[in-house]
Amino acid sequence: MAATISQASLLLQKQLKDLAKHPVDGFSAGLVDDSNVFEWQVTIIGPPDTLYDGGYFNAIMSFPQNYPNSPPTVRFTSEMWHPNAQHNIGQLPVYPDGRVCISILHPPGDDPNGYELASERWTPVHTVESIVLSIISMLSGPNDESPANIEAAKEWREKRDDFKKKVRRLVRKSQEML
Amino acid sequence: MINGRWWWWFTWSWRVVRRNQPPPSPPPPSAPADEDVLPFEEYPPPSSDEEEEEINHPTPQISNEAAAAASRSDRRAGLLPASSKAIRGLREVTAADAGEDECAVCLQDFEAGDKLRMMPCCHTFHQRCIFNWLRLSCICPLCRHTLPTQNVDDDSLGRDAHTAAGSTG
Repeated sequence: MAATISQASLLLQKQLKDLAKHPVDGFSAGLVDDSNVFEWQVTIIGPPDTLYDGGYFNAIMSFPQNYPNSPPTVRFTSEMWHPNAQHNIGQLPVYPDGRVCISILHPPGDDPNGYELASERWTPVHTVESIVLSIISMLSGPNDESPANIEAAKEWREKRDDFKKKVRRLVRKSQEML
Repeated sequence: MINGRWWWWFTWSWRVVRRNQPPPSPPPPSAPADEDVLPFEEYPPPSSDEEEEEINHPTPQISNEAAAAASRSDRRAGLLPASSKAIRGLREVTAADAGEDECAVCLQDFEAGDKLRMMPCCHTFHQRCIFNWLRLSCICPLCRHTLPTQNVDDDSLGRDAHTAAGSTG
């Protein structure tokens, strides 16, 4: 067990070092507390040319002791409003507590929705970078044909102006929080 | 020109024919001693014997079409662990034989002397990294190539994977 934990922390430390050396466009990432490499704070910049453009959305990534064999949980601490899914990312309900539910974050043996394809599930090659990029890509591509957050999807479909207004308000709020 | 559906039918019927013949021995290119294969002290919980494997992967009680179909789709989705036989059968290679420079799981460079294993799809990982993963899920971390699972190792689904391994690897 000890070997597994140190393997997880070595891998996370390596990613931390690599991201500091080679930052990736669109997000910044670091530890919540320098003494705990399993808890990350990421700030996702709303993708350009989307409703989320200009927003700064904070999220906490919590890695399990047996990472990378199990995925982290990701939870938005900033308010978030998003309808649904993206074609190869899977469902993205953002739960009331801000928890992100995308299929690549579902561990093996767990299929809460009962329909996920192999091509969408977690494998141990996912890194902080690839997970955040999946979330950014999901923000860029709302798709009202397979809604996950029914309420947001309905608003996206039927009251687009209200939806846009709500997201714009979240974006402004996120900028004020900086 | 054989299209995909006919090719599938052909390989499937070939498997059925083979199935009725004496069991072909699975191809473990290297058959290392058990202790050498799984440094189980690193795995929670340690379980090196087949008996425990049986407990972890009970054979389904209901063996009907629906169960087989469900099992097949679970295996495709990577919801089942690979069988210990399939894990043990992975080819041992050296850093020089690996197609990649680093292990995609731990992101460390392969060094001469590292214990590496190659999947049938030719993706290579540290033995410890890939064994830990395959005990949770039967898919290749990089390309999702599927290994046989404990439940299906002895039936046609298991052969399915063996054959697929041969044709893509």
